[in-house]
Amino acid sequence: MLQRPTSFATEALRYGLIVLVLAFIVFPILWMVVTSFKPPQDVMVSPPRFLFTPTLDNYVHAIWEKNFLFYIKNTLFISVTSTVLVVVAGALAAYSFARYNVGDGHILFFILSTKMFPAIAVILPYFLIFRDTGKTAVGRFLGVGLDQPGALIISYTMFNLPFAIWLLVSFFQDIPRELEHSARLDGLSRMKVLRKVVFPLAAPGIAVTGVFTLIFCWNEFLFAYILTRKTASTITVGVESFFTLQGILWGPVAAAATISVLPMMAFVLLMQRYMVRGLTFGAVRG
Amino acid sequence: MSFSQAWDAGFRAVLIYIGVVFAWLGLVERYFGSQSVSVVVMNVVAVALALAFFLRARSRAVAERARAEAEVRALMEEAV
Repeated sequence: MLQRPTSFATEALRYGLIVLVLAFIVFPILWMVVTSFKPPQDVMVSPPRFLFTPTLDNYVHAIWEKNFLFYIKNTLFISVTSTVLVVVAGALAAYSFARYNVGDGHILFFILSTKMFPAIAVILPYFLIFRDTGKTAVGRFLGVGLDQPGALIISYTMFNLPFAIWLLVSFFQDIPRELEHSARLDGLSRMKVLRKVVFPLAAPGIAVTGVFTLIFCWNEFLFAYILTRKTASTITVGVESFFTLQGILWGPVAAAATISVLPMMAFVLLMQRYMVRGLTFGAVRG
Repeated sequence: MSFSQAWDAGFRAVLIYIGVVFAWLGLVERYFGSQSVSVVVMNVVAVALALAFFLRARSRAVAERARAEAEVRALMEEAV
């Protein structure tokens, strides 16, 4: 009733393209899940078998023999801690950039420049710093040496902070200054204005930043691979441990990958409503 | 039902299917004498639940759209 009429061919072409792109995105995930239920003899056959007797053996292997829940516990602790640090520090920094134009734009650009080089370029300095820090009493106390969670928490925080600041700056810029001025006239201190006016209004944007940061931390591989060995290893390193000298255990690899994807998928589905609100926040200005 | 709503509901329906497979293989299959019968029943139950979820989402989306269109129609008539 309210839409402009379009020809059937145009609609079919449009939706056909959308379905093609979405299928391209979803197919690897479905393949991974299907493989995780396959018995070993059906995993690597050509042509691939889609009719098979499903089994949970790969999950049993991943969880009990490889102790995969240990990696999930580590990842959860490291990712959540890092995300909290990134969101808190990022929100305060972004607010100061949005309202006070700290550094006249130069510092904001400089912060982004830390995202311009590949992670592999800084992995050696990070390795040396954490190796030496871990040998000191303070480093041991804070757990920031090699193969300790603190090293990954700091690395992830440093690498995700620029992205969080850049994302949040635009959210804070979209909040009218007049609201803050009114609150100040009502007698609220600057911190109370932040707490009671600015942050609640920017909540969808902060939620989006938190979700993206958590996803980046959850899926990170390079830092986890270089900076950990055993006690602080994360799921990505755990999945890599299925690549043995005897061969690649594709079934357990798929099961481990499925287990590691599920918590993030559930979390994103739960946060979907807030994410959409956050991503469209400020899109329509009065 | 719009395309994005259909995709969202379809994706969740697939997740329901996978969830049923997990639960079935872990909790229910041991009560079946024959594994092939268990697999067939599992697929039927999983498809039925996924389909039921999708149809429910579809009927809710259709009702929501009808309600929104009625609201807009009323507003337009009011404006005229």
